[in-house]
Amino acid sequence: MGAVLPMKLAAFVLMGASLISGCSNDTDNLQQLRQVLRPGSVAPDPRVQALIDGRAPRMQVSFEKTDLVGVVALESARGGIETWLSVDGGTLILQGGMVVGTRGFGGGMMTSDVTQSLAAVHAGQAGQVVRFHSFLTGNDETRTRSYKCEIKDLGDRPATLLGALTPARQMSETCRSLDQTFVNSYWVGAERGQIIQSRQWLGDFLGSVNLRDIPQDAF
Amino acid sequence: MRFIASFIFIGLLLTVPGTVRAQSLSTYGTPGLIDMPTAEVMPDGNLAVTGFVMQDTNRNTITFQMLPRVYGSFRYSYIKDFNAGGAESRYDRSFDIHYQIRHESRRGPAWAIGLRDFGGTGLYSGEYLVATKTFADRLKITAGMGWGRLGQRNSFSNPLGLLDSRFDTRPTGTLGPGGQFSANQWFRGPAAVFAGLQYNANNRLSLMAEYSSDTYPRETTTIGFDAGSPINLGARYRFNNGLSLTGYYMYGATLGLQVSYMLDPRKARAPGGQDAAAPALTAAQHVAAASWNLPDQVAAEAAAQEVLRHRLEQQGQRLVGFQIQGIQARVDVENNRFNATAQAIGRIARALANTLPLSVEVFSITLRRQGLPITTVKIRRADLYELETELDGAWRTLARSQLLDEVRALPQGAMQEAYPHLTYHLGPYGRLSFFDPDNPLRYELGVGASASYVARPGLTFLGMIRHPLSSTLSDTTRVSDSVLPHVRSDWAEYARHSDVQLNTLTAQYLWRPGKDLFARVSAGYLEEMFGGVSAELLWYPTDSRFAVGAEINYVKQRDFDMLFGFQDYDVVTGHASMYYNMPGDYHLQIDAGRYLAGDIGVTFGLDREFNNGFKVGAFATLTNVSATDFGEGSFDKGIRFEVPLSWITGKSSKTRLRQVIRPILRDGGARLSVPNRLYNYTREARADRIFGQWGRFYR
Repeated sequence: MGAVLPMKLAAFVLMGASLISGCSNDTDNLQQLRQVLRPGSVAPDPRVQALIDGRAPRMQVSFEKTDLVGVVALESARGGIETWLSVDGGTLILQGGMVVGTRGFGGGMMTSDVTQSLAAVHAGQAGQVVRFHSFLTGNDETRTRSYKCEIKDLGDRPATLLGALTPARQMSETCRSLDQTFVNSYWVGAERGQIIQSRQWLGDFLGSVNLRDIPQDAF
Repeated sequence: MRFIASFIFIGLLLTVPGTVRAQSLSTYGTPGLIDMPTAEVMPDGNLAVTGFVMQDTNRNTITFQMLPRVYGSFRYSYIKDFNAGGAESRYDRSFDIHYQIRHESRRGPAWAIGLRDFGGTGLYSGEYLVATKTFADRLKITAGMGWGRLGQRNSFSNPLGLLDSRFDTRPTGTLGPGGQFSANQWFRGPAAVFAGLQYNANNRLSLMAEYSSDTYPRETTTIGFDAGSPINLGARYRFNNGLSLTGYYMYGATLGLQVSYMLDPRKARAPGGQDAAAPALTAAQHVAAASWNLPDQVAAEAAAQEVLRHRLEQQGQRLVGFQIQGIQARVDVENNRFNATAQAIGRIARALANTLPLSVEVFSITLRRQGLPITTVKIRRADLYELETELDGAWRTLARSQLLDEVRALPQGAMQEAYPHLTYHLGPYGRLSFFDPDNPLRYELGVGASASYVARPGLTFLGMIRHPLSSTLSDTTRVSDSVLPHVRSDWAEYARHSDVQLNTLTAQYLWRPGKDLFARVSAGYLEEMFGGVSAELLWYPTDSRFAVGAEINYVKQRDFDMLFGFQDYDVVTGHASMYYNMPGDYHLQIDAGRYLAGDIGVTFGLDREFNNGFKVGAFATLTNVSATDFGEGSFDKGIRFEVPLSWITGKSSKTRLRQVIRPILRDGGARLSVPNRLYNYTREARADRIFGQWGRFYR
């Protein structure tokens, strides 16, 4: 029996794969399986290629929890909300430089209300604000959470864009809910008063992300 | 092999991080110390799989917390050389149930009552009443009283005897066919006490010690197991991913090892999933300026349709109907990708908004399957623009949309190329059969091909052929001793006599006789063992938790070679069915009618169905076949699991992994297995499920 075991084990592994593989014209399971087993081995989403070819604005992105680093490109903007697309098809949705949603990275931040935080950070004003995030759970249910946040002005501290120091003022925002705590930081550029670098929390699943503008003349 | 089987089972079901707060599982795979139970329960809805080995004994258990206070377990055990005076090993299947009477409070312990192996052949039969109290968050002390197998060591006369003298003696085991509740034994005969403690050294490591009231009487006489010492010791280490590993020193006689895995079905691999994002809504003026939307009306509409078809295809959606009538666009779509229909609707709606001319203000989207219209959703374009990024946008979109049951034909002309349509699948396949009386695991591996050809909406020809390459299904020496017609118990004959198998070859017509009604007729080789004709009618009101259906079939048994021939046996079989999606994650199905062997009865199926599609359930069929005529097991029953592939991968897919575990497959209460029964065929696209998963609309 001993020698038979490895063979049988191999057979089972094969069988697990067989449930979802094979060639077919109506499902894309195989493609999806490949993405799960070998993330990064997938050709970039054609939508991204088009944006890169069209010299769309770009940002550097790094996820702290997973050490994933990459670039996102501005795909669309409507009513002050910008959608930035990554090579693997995930998006970050930003309003005035603040993340209000993510898609495709897991974690499920669907929508947010950050109007108070936005106003305070852009005005360079310290104080108490409230923000709201709505998440999709692993059971496909929507959970809306509210956070009480304290905004502080940390004064002039330059941002680092592509290794170059860029004059900016740093603001921090410390938020709490009953069971969650996070700190966001924003660097507001001295030149145009926009958030040019930030570290923002995306929920328990994804943790925090660092965002840096890539100056337009760099590409 | 046995232990491997449980590993495989863990692996197949789970592979994923559904980690929950650690919990201690006993060698019986239920919350407990070592062999003894505690009064604890697992978090509601959690599922635990355990494999345990010690000298000559192996136990594999699945425990499911069905209700906050109730868990149930199915166990498959093996005892070496236990039967026939040491000539044969014993494979034993048993079920447990446990009810927590009282939660633990600051001052008082938790109390629970439970039945181990309450049916079956009674090897592990035992009942208990137990209390557990936690001290200083680290120490848990348990004490209880047991009966039956748990009432052996230093036993005393049953205190329940004070109530009624019937409790004083325990009737001897039901050595009949098993499978029946042994209620006449419960809490009868001598009782004994057991106790133990668990100390959590830290979050990872726990130490256990217990005084066991089980003396392993039957093992002592049959295999010479010595349970002389009452003391058991154990140490458990938990890993972050939900896995834990435990080592034991049992009864001063032997060492034991256990692996267990616990998961929460509510925690899919990635909350919200990892599908590529849908293109966001484009500003209206950009859509208006798109080349296909410029003047020259006739050509423009055709161009827009082509752009739309392409964009939907990228999202796994097949456009099969398209028509613009004034301010309304009517589109018909077959969703081939998203297990959450709401997500498909959200993506279709955004593709429409990003493509069609601004004169179109309302989108009427009909979801179809093989041409059959299932549900229509009407959404106003302006609402999408307004609510896409609003905090409560998904729900407000739902509130402003309509889900209808529109029985409508496909618009003429526009999409003539949509039908006929052929889909196919080629590839390896595998199937498993767990825990039958002689073998914990049987499998068949091979290559197969399946295809379906939708000749016109509703009319489909489907077939599947397979060629097994490696199979243990036919390795049984057991010959069916059934006194009923051998409608299922000859399964090994099919495996043995077939080479290339024609699994199904069926013509099927689906249509809508009226609002809320679905109908099906099928003819051909309907399943592996039977062929014939089948007709079904389903009444399934939109947005209803109820559905009612009826099915009638005339079938003939197929030859063992699974090709075109038939045997002599034929039967008229059919059922009336009731489906009820109960509040709070439960789903009930009751089927009453005539089964394949001509027996008449009822099947009850109860599933715990999580919103993300993960299901755990049990079923039982009671018919007018007596327990003796049915044979081993007494009646047909089993448990079943269904896991959406997306739960494991994080990527949307309509593929679901299903596994039924039946203690034994016999001829009583056997139901025909027709492809595409209407309720399951339509359900994911009916309003009730769409509402439940609407949070994925803007996903």
